[in-house]
Amino acid sequence: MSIATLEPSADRTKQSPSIIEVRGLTKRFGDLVATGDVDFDVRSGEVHSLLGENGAGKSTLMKLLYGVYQPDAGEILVDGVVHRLDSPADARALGIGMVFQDLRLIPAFTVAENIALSLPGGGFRYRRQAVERQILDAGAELGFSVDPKALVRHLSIGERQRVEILKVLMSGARLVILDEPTSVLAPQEVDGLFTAIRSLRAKGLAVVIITHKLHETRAIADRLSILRAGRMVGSGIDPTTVDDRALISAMVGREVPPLPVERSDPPADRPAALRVTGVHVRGDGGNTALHDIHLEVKAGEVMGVAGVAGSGQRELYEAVLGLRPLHTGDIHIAAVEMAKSDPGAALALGAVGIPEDPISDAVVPGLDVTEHLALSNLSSLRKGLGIDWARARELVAELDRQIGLRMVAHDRTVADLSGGNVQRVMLTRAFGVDCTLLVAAYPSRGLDVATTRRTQELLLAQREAGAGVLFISEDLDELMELSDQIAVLHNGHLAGVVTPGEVDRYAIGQLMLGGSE
Amino acid sequence: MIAAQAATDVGGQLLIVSVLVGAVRSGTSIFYAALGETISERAGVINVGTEGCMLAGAMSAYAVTAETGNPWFGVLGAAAVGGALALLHAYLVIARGANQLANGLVIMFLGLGLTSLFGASYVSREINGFKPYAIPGLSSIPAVGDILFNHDPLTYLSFALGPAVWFLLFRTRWGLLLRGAGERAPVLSSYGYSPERIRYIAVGLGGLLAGIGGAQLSTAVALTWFENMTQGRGFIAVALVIFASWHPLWAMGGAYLFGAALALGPELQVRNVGVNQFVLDALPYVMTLAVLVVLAKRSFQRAPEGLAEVFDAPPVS
Repeated sequence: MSIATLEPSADRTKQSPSIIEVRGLTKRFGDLVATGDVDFDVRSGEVHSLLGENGAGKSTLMKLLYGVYQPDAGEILVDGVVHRLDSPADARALGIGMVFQDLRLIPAFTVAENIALSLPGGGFRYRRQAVERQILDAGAELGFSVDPKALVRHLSIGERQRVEILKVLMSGARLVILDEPTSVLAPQEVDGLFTAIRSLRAKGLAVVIITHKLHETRAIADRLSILRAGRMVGSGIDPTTVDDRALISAMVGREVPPLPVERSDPPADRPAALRVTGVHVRGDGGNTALHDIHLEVKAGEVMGVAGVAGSGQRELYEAVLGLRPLHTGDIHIAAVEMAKSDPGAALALGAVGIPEDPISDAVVPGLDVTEHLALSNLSSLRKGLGIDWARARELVAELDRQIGLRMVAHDRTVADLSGGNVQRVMLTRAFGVDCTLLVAAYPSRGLDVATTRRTQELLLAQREAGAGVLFISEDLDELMELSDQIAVLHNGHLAGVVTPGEVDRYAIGQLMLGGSE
Repeated sequence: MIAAQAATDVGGQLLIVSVLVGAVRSGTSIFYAALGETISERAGVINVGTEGCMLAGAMSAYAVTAETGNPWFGVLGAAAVGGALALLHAYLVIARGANQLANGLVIMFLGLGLTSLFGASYVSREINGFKPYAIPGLSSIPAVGDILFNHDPLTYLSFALGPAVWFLLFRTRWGLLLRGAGERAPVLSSYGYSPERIRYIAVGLGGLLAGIGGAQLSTAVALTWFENMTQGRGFIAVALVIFASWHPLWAMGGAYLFGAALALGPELQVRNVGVNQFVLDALPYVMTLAVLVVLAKRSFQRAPEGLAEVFDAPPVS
């Protein structure tokens, strides 16, 4: 069960045969064409980057290649022969492996146990030492350092990802599909992943990496393909022949304006929009989720919050907005102490939140868009004992024009909307209010590039209007671009506050991973 | 206190030896049940109805032995009935989505009710049950011979079963699959296995072992049948599994500890030690709790993640 290797050819990409090739591949979900008439091929010994916005059909295409979905039209050729892939097992048997974003590992098992579970056959016994040796051998072959005896629970996300890749390779994959592998990694871990990917390439294996980050594509890809709205708008392009602007407009379909560079200084005479003093907060499991946090967000300033997923971001969001009781410490909004943890109290002090998971935290699924926006503004819409719905509809239409996030038709029920459209409703509601403090958790999650850019403009507009903005994100580029300062969380501690112009991504990554500045 | 009284020995046997003999004798039925429950919970299903499976096993074994004259047939019957009752639990929990804890209680009461009904006619019957078999040579080792090598065949079987289950869980692919089903079922599904099927097998095996535990109690230790004769041993077994951190060999130790506490009371009485009867009755529970809580502090193993669903808590990663 060693790793399948192919002879690396002298000119890696040009002469290598295609491991997989698809022709005219089409997949529909109801009326929606997820991928339409797509041609695509991956050669052995290459890293192929698949670019595209959220919802462009990248994941659908990869799930077609991995046998999760079956195409409505078109064909898939593996090693030049047409195959039907009825299940992931069929794909695996042909040497196609996939590493999903939500890693498929059992945290309570050791690395060896996880890999043994994934290997087909192998008899009745679990031969621990034999499996451990295989892992060490395979790891050495690829230059991965993996401890087969380690519990997966104790590994970092980056290490788990390497275990997952090893797992896929040890079950015989020649083509590895990585679904947005860098989205959860710190910059140092991205380097580690890319080193691993390069050694796969050197072994003659093929790698498809799904991403929407251009600089990563440039760092690793031999060729790239671009999907937009289910269509392949560029297939097998050499990255050195195109510039970033051309790539972005290919992904988005039009030019995206750059963010304004000129920004006014925060007014000095205003009290801090948010002051967090010595705050300890307990997590859901009773553990201490935030340790002794001291943080100040000035009026007219964007304070970014960076950290590896689960470092206390959610608890910080909830504590500041009165959604989670403080164990010790206190929180001042515009110099007024929040007397007790109560969302109403935070709201009264002018704090507005954009939640991480609006569908479970912030919407009433049965209400329509107008009703949602009216809900937060009921007192001004009163008419006798009822609500002035005509005026509500007018106001919502006006707000939609002003904010410019292009919400869906205002009489649509929120329960029927996609995640991205729910997010537009949430953002329109939050940006429609004058506030002293805006707490935004991952505001651009699930949005396309153009809407993301508009959201960023709106965040900066709140800053210009004098609000303090606490901006939680997992995208370091976005944080560096928007923030005046960045607070870095590590394991519930404030690891440091840095100024984007003065440090680079690696310094922030170091703090995210628990190192010192 | 015990040390001072140990001088007054009965029948030439030290108190400590008598208690240890009793520990194995009384602990074995609990051990079988705890072993079964360990398998079940490792696959992600709690069967609080273990008590019901034990009772069903105890009564079936007694009835079959009484009718056939052969206690081995009784054991087969006990295993079948205990397993069947557990499979009912598995069906309701896995296929019908019933709450595991509530459904377990139902299984317990079902076992209690059915065995009271069908066992009524056997209450005063006598049987020709299992006899202790002294292993030649080994049983004449002082003290150790009496403690370990002078028991009924089901006890000897249990000695082998503890390590066997450990091997099955931790050294076979089947054990990996079983524990995987109890940790993250979707991962198994993604490899093309059926976690449901694995859980059915595990729960069924658990009930089967609990049934054999009941058989050991009625046909080897008590040699009688009466209503509710397990008196909470099934519940103790469920508690032991948790305190033993889902480890079969720790469960073995815990079961004998409880057995020792059970045996201590009668041995003290035989030796005319004046201890309040109620204190003696409570002793097994208090002692088992105390020792195992101290052990559990070292939490060397966590609960299978799948069990978190039972208590509606988010999984810890």
